[in-house]
Amino acid sequence: MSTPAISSSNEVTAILERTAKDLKPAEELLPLLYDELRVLARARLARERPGQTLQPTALVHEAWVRLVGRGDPGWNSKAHFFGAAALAMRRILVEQARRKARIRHGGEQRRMDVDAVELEPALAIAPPAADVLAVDAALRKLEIEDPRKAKIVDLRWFAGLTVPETAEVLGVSVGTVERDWRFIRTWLRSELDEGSGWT
Amino acid sequence: MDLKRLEELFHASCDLQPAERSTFLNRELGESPADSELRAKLEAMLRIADADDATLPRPEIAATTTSAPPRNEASTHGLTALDAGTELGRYRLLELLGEGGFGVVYRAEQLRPMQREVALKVLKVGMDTREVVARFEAERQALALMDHRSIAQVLDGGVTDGGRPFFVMELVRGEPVTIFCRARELDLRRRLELFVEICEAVQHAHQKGVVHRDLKPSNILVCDPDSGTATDSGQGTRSVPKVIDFGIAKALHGRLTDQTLHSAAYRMLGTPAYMSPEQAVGEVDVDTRADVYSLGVLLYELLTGTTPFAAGGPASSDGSDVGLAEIERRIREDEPLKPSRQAGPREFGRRLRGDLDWIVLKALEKDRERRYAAASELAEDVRRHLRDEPVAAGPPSTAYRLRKFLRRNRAQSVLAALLLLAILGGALGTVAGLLEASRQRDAARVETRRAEAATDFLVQTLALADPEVALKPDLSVRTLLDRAAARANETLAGQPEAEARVRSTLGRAYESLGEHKLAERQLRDAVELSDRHGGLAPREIYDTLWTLTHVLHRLERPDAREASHRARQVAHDIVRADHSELASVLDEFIVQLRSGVHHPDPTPIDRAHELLADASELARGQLASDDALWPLLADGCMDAGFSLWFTPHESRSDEFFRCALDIRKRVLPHSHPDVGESAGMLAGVLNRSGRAAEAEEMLRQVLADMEEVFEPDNFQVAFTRAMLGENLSAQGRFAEAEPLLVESHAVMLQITDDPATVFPIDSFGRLIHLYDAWDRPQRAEPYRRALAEIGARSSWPVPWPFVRWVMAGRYAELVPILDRLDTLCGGVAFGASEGELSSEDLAPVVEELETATRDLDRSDPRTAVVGRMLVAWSNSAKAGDPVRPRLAELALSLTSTWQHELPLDGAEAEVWAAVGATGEEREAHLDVAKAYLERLRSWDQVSGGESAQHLGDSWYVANAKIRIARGLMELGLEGEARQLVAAAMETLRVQLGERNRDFQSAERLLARLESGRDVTTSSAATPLTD
Repeated sequence: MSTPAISSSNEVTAILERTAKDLKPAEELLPLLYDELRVLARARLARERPGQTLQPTALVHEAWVRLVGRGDPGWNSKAHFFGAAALAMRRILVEQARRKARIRHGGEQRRMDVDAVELEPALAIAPPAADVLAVDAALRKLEIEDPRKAKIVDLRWFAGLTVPETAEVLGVSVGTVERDWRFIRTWLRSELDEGSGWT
Repeated sequence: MDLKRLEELFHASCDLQPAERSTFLNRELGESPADSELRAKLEAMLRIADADDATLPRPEIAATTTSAPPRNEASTHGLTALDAGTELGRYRLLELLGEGGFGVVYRAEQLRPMQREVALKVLKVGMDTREVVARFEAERQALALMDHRSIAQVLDGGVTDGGRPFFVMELVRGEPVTIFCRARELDLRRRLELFVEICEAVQHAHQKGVVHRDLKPSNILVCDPDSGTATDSGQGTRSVPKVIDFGIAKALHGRLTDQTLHSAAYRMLGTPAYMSPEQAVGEVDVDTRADVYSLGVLLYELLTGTTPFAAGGPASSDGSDVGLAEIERRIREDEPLKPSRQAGPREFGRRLRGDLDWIVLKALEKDRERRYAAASELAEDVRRHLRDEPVAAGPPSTAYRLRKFLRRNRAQSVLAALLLLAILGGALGTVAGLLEASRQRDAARVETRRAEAATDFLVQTLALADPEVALKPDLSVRTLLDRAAARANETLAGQPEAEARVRSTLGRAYESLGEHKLAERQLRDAVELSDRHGGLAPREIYDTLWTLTHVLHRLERPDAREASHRARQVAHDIVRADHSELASVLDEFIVQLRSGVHHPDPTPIDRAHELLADASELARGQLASDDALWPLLADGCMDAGFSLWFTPHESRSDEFFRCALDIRKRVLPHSHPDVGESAGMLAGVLNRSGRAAEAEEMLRQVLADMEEVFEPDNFQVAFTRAMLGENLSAQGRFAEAEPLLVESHAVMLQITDDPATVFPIDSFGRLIHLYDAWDRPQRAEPYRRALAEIGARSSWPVPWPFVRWVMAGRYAELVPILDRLDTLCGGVAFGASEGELSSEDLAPVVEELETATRDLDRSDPRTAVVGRMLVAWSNSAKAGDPVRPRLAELALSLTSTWQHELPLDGAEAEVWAAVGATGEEREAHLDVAKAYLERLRSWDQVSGGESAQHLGDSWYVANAKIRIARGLMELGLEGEARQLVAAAMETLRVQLGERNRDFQSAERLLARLESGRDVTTSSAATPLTD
């Protein structure tokens, strides 16, 4: 089984340097980080004993240290990186949750094998899989109404940034993030509790 | 669902009590389906918030059971299952010795080719076996060359059946050096000797090309000879340190280093406290100097019992992620506390001062170029200390101190620190520019002198203090500025161009610290020097003038407006150089604004609004987002807003402040005080024009941004908090407003040296207003009393709108009368010009006032406040009109118990009372006036006076003297009048300049006195002066 090459640190920093200037969202980063995070996750899990779990957030930080973390490349780069990494991680988790849900319901288990070669059996989502999907659904709606708040959830929940880090990445104050986060996590929790399809 | 509304209601109701909450929701939400839905959602959310149950489960990635478990060592902890007796190649395990961060250590028996006991370390999971082994093999030759009694030999390496790397090394039975020292309470000398031995061992390894990379106490064991397991080094009873694990760290994270995963690796291994800064940032080429750093940390711990960055933070031994990240950050950024300042394990503290402090700090330099080049040098310096010889490590250089100084002052006063750096940078920049200009030798020589002067000046200032003093943590930007200012006088005399630049920068630095009076002096000097001798570029002139404008406004100087006009002119000239169209729109804008300010007709202000929109559009089209002209345009908007302050168009200044705020938010860091200023001013307008709700969110945002950078005692932070308080008060949220206003008030009083200035007084006003609106008269009372005391004793009368707040109870009846008087007089006149009002205008009000004040308690400060107001208002009356003496008499009556403290007010009132009197009464008034003037004159000569009204030689005193001189002229005392005017004019010329209105008015008065000199040769009155 050939492992996909881990994206080179140079490539990522080059993209960051380029995007930091024109302020464009680092869309190019997304696929790179998507691969990077999956490979990292699998590599780490392969060494863990069964039942051990990984925090996706730890992976995102590890990817940062690995790919960029020499000195401080400036908040623009940081914003782009963590923005993209949060999205990539969210995508990975959502895909895993979807597949797990499908497998649980019988469905297309066989056809999943191609994907499973890459991620299964080592990578699977621990129980709150439903939450991942529900959060994702709520977030998609939120992105339309209040993109900043959605971004905060991405960064806090999927990339595991602290409040000050989130504030730095978004270029807003800690107070703003705290205030938004207080509201939005309560709101999300209530959405999940209702179990209502908010979509 | 309306998410915005939901959010607003959530935040608004979150902290309410249940009962208040339902009232609130009933008020805010109606019966519509949408509102009902909203309410249901809100209540669900509030339940969650109340139960503090809003935690979201973190997503996790789990390894499922299908993953093949590692063979062989199937224990859940990986390794502990290796039993005694297990054979690994030619080694047999005997017993478990311990478990470390990355592996488990066994005592083992080597079976072939010879039999001996060894230590065998098996690595935990997570290491890439093949690479570890490969790197170990590569290092092995070098390791084999090491032969030192204090280095534990690494003998062999291999792989377990389970695929884990293991290392074999000399068996050392000892304790980590720190524990060893503590347990035996070794004295300072013995600790240092032990440390020197360790350095020598490390030096030996370095000579063989081996860098340890992971030196820490657990890798430096000391064998106690008493324990019976002493090594066979022949040292008898002496304990010997042994450094273990040489080569292991490199084998473990050689690759990780390349991949900058170093810190992640350390997370696996344990504490990073001994890691060098270059390792903390994942530097690729780690060399021997990383070990020197780690030795420095070790020495630190041996001397103080703690590591440099361990104390005082959340970081701790539990190895939590936050803690490690924090330690890493400190290693990269913070300066270690000197060992002598750390509480030692015993009473080493004092003995560490000097040599040992410097030695440790030199080993701990962030920049490895500045460390000891080798472990042997470090050892040698410690030996020198032990022999009482001078050590090579010394106090840090000037540049080093400057760097530390700036770092230390970061939060306290970024701006001042940056400006200070700008002085230095500016001077150095000039030097660099000189090299280019060296062909034009004459011009260059001038430039050289200027630059050298500025540079010398700074170097001397920074070097002024001896190192101990300079390193004192409480040395502030303020102290350094004071030193620089004091030195500027002697050092820069005769070099006006350099002086202009230094003074301009000092002034701006003082201003950013809120030291307005100190700033004023520097900035006025800078402008004058530059006017006379040049030395400042247009932009520098602008910055100087604009800052001066600010300072003058804050200090309520009468020439603030002039400074701002000049600043505007310079600004427009700068804009015109590249953008003539924009400049002409701005010119027109100013014209409209100025013509409209004092007239009720809104047309010019409308036009100004349109022109501002045009200018904004032009600017957006023509200027790059980082163009240096933006801040200048923002200043212009602020200026426009200020000019409408207290005019009929005040409520329309919001557009201007908003425009300034937008620009500043874009071009400045959000925490910049200028952003706070714009927001505060905008909020002030909105608060006062019934639009407080619009301002709250903006204020909170700006405040949060500023509080991240500035301490609460920063002027702008306090001001913004006060504005938020005012805002909440205007919204009727009194309980929320109170703490903000009380706290910011305390700060205002603390940082202003004169409470009788606009910001502290305004702050009193806000509090009194709050309690009045809230109907809490008892709470307002102390503030009223304090403000009245200030009003009665301040250097000059506090303008009526500010002291109006003190007039409660019996005095409230006076308010409508005094309001009318204030309107008639057009406010308090501090100027020197002659007034225009006559008895016809004023007599009815004065009569009413005479009746209303007849039985006021003369010892009440509020009575005195009214009396002082009358003196100030009376300046608006014509010199020859009888209403002026009448006002003076009334004022004297009201201030009778306070006059001894107010000689200036007293002299003015007495002279005017004399004008209205005859015979003995006139003489009596004149005698008292003469006594007051005598007191003032003696104060002019000696600095410092016993009265609150000691003003020295200020423009305010000068103006009062001119007004008094007018009275003396009425009395026929031209000689005395002339003397007073001449002296006052000199003060005005220096302080306000010759274009100032008051100066010119004095000039005219003097001309009149001179021309009448011949006519009125024989005055019968008693001369006032000897």
